Amino acid sequence: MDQSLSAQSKRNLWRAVVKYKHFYVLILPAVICFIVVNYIPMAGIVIAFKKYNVFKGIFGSPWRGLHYFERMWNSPDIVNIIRNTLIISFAKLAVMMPASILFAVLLNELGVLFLKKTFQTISYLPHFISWVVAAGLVRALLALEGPVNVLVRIFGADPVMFLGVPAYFVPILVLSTFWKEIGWGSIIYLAAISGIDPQLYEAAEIDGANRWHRMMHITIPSIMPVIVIVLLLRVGRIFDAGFDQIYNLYNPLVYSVGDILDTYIFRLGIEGLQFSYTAAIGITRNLVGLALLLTANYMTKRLTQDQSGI
Amino acid sequence: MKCFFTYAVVIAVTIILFGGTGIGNVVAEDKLSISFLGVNSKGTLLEKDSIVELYLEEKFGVDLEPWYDVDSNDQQQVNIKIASGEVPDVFRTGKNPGTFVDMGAVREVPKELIYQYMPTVIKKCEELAPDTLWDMTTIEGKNWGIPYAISIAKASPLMYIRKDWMEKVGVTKKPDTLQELEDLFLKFRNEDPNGNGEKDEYAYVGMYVNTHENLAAAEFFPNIFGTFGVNVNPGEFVVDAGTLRRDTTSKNYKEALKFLAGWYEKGIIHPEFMINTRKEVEELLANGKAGVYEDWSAWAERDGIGPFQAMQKNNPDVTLEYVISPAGPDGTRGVYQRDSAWGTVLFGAEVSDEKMIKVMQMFEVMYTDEDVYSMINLGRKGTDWDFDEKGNVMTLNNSQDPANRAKSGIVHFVYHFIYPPIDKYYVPAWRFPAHNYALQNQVQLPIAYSPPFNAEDSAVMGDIARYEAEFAYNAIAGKIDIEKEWGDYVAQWNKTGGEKLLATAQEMYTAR
Repeated sequence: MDQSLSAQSKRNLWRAVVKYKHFYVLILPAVICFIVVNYIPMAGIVIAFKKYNVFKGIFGSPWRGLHYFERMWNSPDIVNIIRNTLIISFAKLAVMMPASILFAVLLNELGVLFLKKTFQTISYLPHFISWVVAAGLVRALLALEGPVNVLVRIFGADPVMFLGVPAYFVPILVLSTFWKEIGWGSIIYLAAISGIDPQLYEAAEIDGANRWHRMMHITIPSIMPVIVIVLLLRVGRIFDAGFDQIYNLYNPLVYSVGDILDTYIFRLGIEGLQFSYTAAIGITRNLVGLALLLTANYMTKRLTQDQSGI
Repeated sequence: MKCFFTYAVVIAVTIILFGGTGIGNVVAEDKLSISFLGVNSKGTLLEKDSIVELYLEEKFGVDLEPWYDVDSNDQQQVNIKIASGEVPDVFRTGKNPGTFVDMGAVREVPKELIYQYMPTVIKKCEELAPDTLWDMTTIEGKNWGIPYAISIAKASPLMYIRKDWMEKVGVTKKPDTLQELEDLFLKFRNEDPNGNGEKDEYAYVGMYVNTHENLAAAEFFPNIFGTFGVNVNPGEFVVDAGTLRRDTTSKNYKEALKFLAGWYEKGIIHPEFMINTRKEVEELLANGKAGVYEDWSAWAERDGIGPFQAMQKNNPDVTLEYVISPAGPDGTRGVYQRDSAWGTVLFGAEVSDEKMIKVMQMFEVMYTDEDVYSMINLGRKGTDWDFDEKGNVMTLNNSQDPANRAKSGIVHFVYHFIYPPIDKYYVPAWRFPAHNYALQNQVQLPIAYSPPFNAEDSAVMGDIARYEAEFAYNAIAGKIDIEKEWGDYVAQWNKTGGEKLLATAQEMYTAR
């Protein structure tokens, strides 16, 4: 019985493939590209278990077992580095997610189309500035002779060397990310909002709902699936705390709070040619990221009774 | 008809894709082809068939294949290419080739061949760095490269002080002790030498580097640490009667940090010195916010780039005073001494003996024959350079401009084998005053030992250097109580790998 069923479903699948063959042909290049670019290189992670030799190549190099993983866990810095990465990343997530949603909702509430477009464009602009330049701006703003310290002086306080104080460093990272990415981060929510059926708003208005009610009971619930997806994607990349930004802003006075996995990997891998070691760190980082993503997805599904999640 | 077009397109594409590998690239069979990673001039890529390349090919009967598409200054790009198995036949690296040896990227270079095929060159290098030259290339008893040395390294870093500021605050005597320096710097701080009516000057601008990830000796108060007898340069171990130590855990170092913390507190050192990038430091000097920096003679009064140039641009009246190895509190003097042993030339792992010997023979001519050396380093005599009436080398027609160098190949094929008499073609005339001043007046600390660590130990050394930098900056900036934190610092230094590394270095030193 079972066998015939599965045979039948196989037949059906094949029939569907034949029927829609043109679509399959169309998607083929993308699938091939995906396999070639994303899956085949994954075989390279074996260098984490090998002592990499240039001429013997990835597969010919001698095995080292778990040596590099052991070295990672024995490294005195690693705990601090992981802690910094998570703190910075969660701080950004905690501020940026709600802020982007709020910004999108507020933009949506703006009646005047011209103003809406203007604000949107202005808020997108910083996203296109590279962190090398943006960090220069932040440094200039926060320098002892910079505008922020001019304000500090006007209020009678002593100037502060902002970038040299560990307590300020994470807030500076979060705020500068806020300035740079708020507009860009809100795009996906704006798109989701524009997909909401206007009839819902009209019906609510007839029933006497004011703006606040409409926002809370129509806009936010309607974009909730998008919010959840974005949150899941962000959680999966929680170890990505923003290399470019930090690398261009940090200094010895704030290493204790600013050194993250990516700066560590950069230092050892790209500058120090420690490919096997940094591959081991990379693998660990990605496995933990994957585990977090799966957990978050599972939790979401449990909480929303399978309505959300991937 | 349709079919015909399909075939036509396929054939055309095939020709376009694979045509390049065919007839056009045939090289005369008898010429040895040598791939070569040269020295790129700031932000430029070497152009094909430059006059220097053609000159060398003609002179030595070889086919040179420089890496046209790689900027040798972009170490990351070079590293990644090498790590992916694309190793040039000939390239150079700094003091320690251990990482490349570890990766299997380079071949062994028998010492006898070097002595046999480039005897003059290697003798000159040995004269400059008699004790340390071969340390660079010897790993576990084998030799992995051609070590090279430079004579200009003999001059230690100088302290450059705004002479016009000294005149403004009424100091005529050149300071010669830490106390005199302090008195002068306090005047800089308090007597408004930039004349804008505000107390916005600091004396010392601190470092002159882009990153602050280690305490590079040249930029990190070499003349101050020197008076305390301390060498902070990363990767170097001081030899004391056969026993190695790292000075950054010594009592003298602690005292030096306390001294600098005192200067920082008095406003002598610019408060942001540990944050500033090279460009920001230059701006501070140019804008008259600071009047003192320390660096090699190469950055003294350089034409074109550097702090002095930036200062002069804003104010043509800027003049500099040189100070080197001032006397400390108990009268001792010292300044960091760098080793003349400078780096190594490496050969890709698959280079044949024949090719390696050919390169050695070429080097023997390139770095001893003044005509050849001046051609590859300066270009054509009379067109690109000439002697002035004093016998100094003068460059002509903007030949040293990076864009022109990229076109002509000048400098690109020159590695740093620099010693008399060919160094007169290397050191430009503007550099002599500072350079000679340093040579005549410096009191140097002894040369320290740089162990050729493998990749893993080098990484640990990097971690330690970073940890040292973190402590030193926090100490000088008054963020921590040096005396109270010292014990923890040394313990953590050992834990970070310092203890193990010191033992490894000691083993290497004893075994050499």
